[in-house]
Amino acid sequence: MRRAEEIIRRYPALANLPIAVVNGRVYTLRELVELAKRGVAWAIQKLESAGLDPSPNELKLLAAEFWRRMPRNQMLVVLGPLATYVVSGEEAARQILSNGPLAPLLTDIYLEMLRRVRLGA
Amino acid sequence: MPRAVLIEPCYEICTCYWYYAVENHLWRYAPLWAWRVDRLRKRDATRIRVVEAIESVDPQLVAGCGHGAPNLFTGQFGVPIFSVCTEDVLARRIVFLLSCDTAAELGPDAVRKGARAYIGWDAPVVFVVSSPPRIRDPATDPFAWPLFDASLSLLGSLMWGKTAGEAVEAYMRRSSYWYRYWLSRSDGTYVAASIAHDAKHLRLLGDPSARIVIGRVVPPTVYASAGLAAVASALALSGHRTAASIAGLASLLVSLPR
Repeated sequence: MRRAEEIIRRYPALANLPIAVVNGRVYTLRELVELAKRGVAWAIQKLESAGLDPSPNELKLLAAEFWRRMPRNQMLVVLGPLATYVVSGEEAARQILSNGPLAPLLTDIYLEMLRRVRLGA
Repeated sequence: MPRAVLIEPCYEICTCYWYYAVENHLWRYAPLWAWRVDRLRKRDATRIRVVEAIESVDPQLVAGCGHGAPNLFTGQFGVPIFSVCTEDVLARRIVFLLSCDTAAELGPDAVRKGARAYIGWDAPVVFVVSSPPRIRDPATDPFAWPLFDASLSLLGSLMWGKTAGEAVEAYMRRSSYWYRYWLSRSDGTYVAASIAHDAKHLRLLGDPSARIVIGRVVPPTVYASAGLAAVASALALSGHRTAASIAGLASLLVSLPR
């Protein structure tokens, strides 16, 4: 848990990264640390496995939540195969949930950040 | 004098961000005075014009931005410029294409046909822009600038005579700087994520030690300051103290690094 706190302190951009799904609800790194501080056992366990490859269903929920939280003053531009996509956070989340053409790329970008949490950024 | 052909379409957000990044900022990264640069802008970014320019100029460096596919690089309005198995116009050159996927097939094909080095991406290139976007000056878009700053550093390194490997290192250094910067900000999650993605998928194919010899690079300001210093000395010798002081001060200002 100390390591997770250190990550939040040093890299605020990772604090709100969704990293676990419990009973269908997505929890961020910051939320898990708060719960773990209060001694919630499953939160401590989830923190220990943070960054490990989640199941496909969990990954879909986590990645969609990750993109849904993108600030409204930012948009993602994808210089994709023969086309440009400019997507808001909401649109990116919809792409993932509906298996749109950008879903693999958007999921891959999220996974890369998840791995970096495990590696300590 | 080394020669470069730059392919610069501008018809939607990605290509226009690069177009204005080059237009407004390349001079800060590269010794443009030491190069003959043929810029094929907007409607000139077509296959016919590009091939014509490459055959007539015989550039050591070809760089550009455009939409791509694994086997294709396109110009203005998505018209194909380079494709696998159609030509060897990239032979003997160092190539840098800010374009998605081209390092998957087009890059290896170009290297097989003799390109000295090929730098590009093997996945879609992504970046975050401000909403609304700031197309006319990408440097004022803090979210998008990391990609263009790193890419201009790469291009600038090649134009300073660094090796292809060193140019990619320059890209990685800038990317790493921006990645750390955005990680330290609570609103930087997506910018950091896109920087990490792009750095992960940048590929250098061919010879990492390939470089373009640019000879001895002397900035024009050196000539200008030398000239003004000579005028200052002449005026001082002839007794014009005020004029000599002004010319001396001007020569000092001109010689300051930009």
